[in-house]
Amino acid sequence: MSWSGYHRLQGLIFTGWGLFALDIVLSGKILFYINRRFVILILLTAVVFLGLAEVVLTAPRHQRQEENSDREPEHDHSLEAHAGQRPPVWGLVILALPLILGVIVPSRPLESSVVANRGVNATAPLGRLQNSSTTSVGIASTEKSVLDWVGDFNSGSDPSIYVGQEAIVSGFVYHDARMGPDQFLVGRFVVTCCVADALALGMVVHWPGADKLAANSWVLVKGPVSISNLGGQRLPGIEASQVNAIPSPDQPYLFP
Amino acid sequence: MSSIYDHSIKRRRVSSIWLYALAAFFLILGLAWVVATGGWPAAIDRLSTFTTVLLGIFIEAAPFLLLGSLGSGVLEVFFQGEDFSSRVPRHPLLGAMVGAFMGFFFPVCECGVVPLTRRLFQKGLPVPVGIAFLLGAPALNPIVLVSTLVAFGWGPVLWGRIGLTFLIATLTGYIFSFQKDTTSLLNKVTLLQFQAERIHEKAIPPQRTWRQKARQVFTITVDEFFEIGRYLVLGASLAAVLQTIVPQASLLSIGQGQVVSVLVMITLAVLLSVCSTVDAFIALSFAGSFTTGSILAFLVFGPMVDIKSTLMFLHVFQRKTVVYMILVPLFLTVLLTVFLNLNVGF
Repeated sequence: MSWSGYHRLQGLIFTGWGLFALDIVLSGKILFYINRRFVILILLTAVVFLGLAEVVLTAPRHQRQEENSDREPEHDHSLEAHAGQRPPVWGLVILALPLILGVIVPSRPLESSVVANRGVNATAPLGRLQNSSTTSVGIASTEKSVLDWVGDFNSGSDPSIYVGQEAIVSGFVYHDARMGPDQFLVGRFVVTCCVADALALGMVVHWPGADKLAANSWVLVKGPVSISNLGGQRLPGIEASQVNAIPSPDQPYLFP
Repeated sequence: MSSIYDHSIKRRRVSSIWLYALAAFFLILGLAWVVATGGWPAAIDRLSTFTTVLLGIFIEAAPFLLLGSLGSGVLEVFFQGEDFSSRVPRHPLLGAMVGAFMGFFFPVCECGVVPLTRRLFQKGLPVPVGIAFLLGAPALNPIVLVSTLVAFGWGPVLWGRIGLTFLIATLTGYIFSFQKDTTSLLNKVTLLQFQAERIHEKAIPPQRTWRQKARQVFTITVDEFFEIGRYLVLGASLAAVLQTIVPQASLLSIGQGQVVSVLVMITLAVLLSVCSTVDAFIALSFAGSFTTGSILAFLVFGPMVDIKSTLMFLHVFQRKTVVYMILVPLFLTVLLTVFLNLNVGF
């Protein structure tokens, strides 16, 4: 492959990445991959990708002849600097690969099957850092998320003060092998940076029809909070009075 | 001249064999996986998880790699003919100390630091100083320290992170300074490229317009991104595969002991390959159930070595150098954090 062909493909791949990034940011799918606070950074990167593609694609190496005639020739980095070397075509292939995967494999958030590998965390990343306390003081109990409840139970104070409070939480259904037929885990992934660091958090739901709920389906659970246990870890539980199927949310992860 | 050329071709062939081997390895791994996990539907499920994790790591790291590549382009164009060897102390220990602290001038995380270091080497930065920079900068920079402060407050974790990172980066750089010819630590292909670019540098007309300069910066940025980016993709793929194979649940349940906890958190740091700018928040979720020494190990070793950065190192250094760049910090991190666990007991 010639160097100018190599640079053209570079430009093409950058354009592809730029458009892909723009597409997932605008469609909101970006939240399947990274924490909300980095979205603006990715948007910026998408624009930079497109700009750089423009620079590489419009490099004046093709009109060098004309330019030579009337002014100082524009310096062409590629031709001289790489004298005696072949373009690293593998780099093109490798950088295009995730893009191709991203386009052909439909984007989906992490599924509950991943919980089996990652386990259920009893300790949550601290949410409201400015408070220096983990407890979600000031949030109505029915407004608290799975992350809030796990944080509360983990804050050091006696969790029995939460027992009996009414909780309404949403999450995916996960059936843990250590649970009985009338129990399931209502789980959420917590993503601090990107999905690579996703932690599974969950509350143990006591519900007679638990074994009939399809794994990975999304539910809204209502009922008073209790203290539960999973494999020796203390977890918040819900004595469910109501379990309703809901569509999977646009923002599947919780961001601390 | 022709012998150098032949050599470069040979090296290139070797490195592409290496890549074929890696591709074959992934293919076999993938097939074994399909067989082991019960057929195609499950495999497609896992492919989707793999893609999500791979894209997650890549998308998150791309802006930082781009920033590092841009820094490299700026260094190349605006510090033309500069010799950085005259800007650092001659004494190897002092040089390594300066290297470890250079992150305060170049605030980059572990993805961005690789192209920048490569360019600094080309500009004559002594290799041991560059290694100290490479290992130290991802943690010892203003952005990372602020995020650590926000997560853990003033306390043993923040100070421990600063102290241990500085100590380990400096010592590792210093150890490499005993090598007689330190440029031999670098990858041969990289060295050849340096030579080619140096010859080329002399040929550049000194007066260029801002437009031309900007264009050159951006061209180098793109080249650099492709050069280092392929290692980022390979590293991210490997991390994504390992994440689906290694059961983190059982890993985390193994150890709360003073020694075992350190090993578990180091494994986790390598496995997660998290960007150093946010790793403090991730460490926080383990702070309740793991020893302080092990949290420190996560925060000190993670930014120095993880799967994606190791692959990027291979592009700059000889394979042997990379092995030592991993083993020396690993040994020192385990030693120091276990010592802190046993003797200070926070």
